[in-house]
Amino acid sequence: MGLTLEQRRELRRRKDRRDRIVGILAPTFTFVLLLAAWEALVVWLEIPTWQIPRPSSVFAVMFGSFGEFLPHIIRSYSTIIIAFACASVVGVALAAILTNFKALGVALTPYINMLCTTPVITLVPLLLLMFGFGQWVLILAVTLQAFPILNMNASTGFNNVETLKLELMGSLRATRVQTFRHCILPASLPNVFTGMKLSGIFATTACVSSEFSGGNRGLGARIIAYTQFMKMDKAFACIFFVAVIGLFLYTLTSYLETRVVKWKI
Amino acid sequence: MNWCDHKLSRLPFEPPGSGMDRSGPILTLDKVSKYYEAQNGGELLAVKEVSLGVRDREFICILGPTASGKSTLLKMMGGIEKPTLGTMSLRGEIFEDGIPANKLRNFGFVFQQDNLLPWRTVVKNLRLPLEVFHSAGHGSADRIAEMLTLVGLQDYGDVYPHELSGGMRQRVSLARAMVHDPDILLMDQPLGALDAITRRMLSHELLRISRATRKVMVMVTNNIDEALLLGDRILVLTALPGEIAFEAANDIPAEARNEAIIENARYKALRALLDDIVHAQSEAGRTAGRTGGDGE
Repeated sequence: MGLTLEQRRELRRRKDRRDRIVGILAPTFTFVLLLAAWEALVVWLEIPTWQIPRPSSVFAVMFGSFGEFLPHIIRSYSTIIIAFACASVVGVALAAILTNFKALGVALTPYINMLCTTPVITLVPLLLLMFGFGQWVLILAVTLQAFPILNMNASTGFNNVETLKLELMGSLRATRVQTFRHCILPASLPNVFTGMKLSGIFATTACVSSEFSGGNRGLGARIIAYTQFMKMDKAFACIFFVAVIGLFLYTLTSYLETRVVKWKI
Repeated sequence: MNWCDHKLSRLPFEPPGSGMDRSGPILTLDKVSKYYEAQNGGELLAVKEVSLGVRDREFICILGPTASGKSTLLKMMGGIEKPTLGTMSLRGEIFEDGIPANKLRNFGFVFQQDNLLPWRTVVKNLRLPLEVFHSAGHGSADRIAEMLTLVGLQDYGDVYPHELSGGMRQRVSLARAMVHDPDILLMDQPLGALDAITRRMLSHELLRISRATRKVMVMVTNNIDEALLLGDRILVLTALPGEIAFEAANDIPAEARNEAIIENARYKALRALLDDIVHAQSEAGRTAGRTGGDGE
């Protein structure tokens, strides 16, 4: 190829820009199309609002009654974000410890995996009984549900660094900490980010389902309450707010990944 | 035809030690052996009682059939693996259990694949040894620039490895192995992953670099042409367990080692001889493998 490096980079930048524009426009178009279809079907089949509300009325309620939702949005979002942050730290740190101390890893890994497969909603009544209705109990429950999947992914990454790369660090007599910092962690970042994306999803669903089962605060609790009173537009508004935070965490992690893992082709 | 007759035969070559350099060895291996745990629970002997003295400014090439313990031998020399038996010494200091960690600064290691860290730019890859050795202070930028110039990549400092060709990547990894100014450069089939044309080009490049830096170099290769172009001394290992089958000094004069070396009569003769020896060792290895590998 007769292109200079600068030319190749410019071509790549242009392609990236095109990809980014398509990446935003295409899903937006799908979104609008789906909502339009939903709206049209509800109107056309004359489905009553207490069964399925029209998206336009859901959006109207989302903005019109925003003050009513706000305390619950704050409650759920703060639970999810704090728990997601805790899970990120615990998941990666624990994976680092468990992959470095094999015996500990063998002793604990099955139970961490068990935590991952147990729905946290089954634990929440127990935790509420033990610790009361404080928000930190929910944060604990959601963290417990969200960190194992990250731990699994990070451990997979940490355990599968190419032998040749480890030999390179060995040839430089790097210490364990140096090897982890300069080689194992950066090599595993794609796995860590995959784990974080999943952990964000787990945190969101775990938070809402925990709120279903206890207390009267948070978006989960409101969805139950509004459904019982047939206020489907408001119930759907809450579901949309949940979708927003889930999407936000996913997008945030993806963005961080493209910033940090620049070297991946 | 018993090719074991070649073992330590020195007839067609100038005997080792009579070359230009008579100073004592820098690195010595004394009956070094390496056992690995085999899959069936037994032990696999990879390297058998290799004794070798590496002298200052010497370029040693190690040839041998595939799976002859060449890489293991080199890794023991570079402190990546510990020998099971035998002693090693570095500048007169004797070590019973392999080269200790605090001496690894004396070595630079080049791997078969370039083994660059893909998340670091070229300059940052060269910084890695300096960071690990805690010597990435002022002056390191100059040192890195000097090394990149030596391998002809001074304009590629801020580039990521995936933006470079295979040959360029291997040149970066050569620069990285020399950035902390080691005495001894160990190369494990450094040109093995390259296409034939790049490979030949880079072998001449390597000759230039070895002449410019005058470092001790030990290179494992499976290519006889490279060995004759670069090596002051050539060793041939047997198939597993690897021991030295043949060892001799390369008496092709330095001024004849250039693009025209293939026309050199001495080169042709030595090439044919080494070709026979290496083939015989591969053949012997296959036969031993078929009859159950009594060497294990």
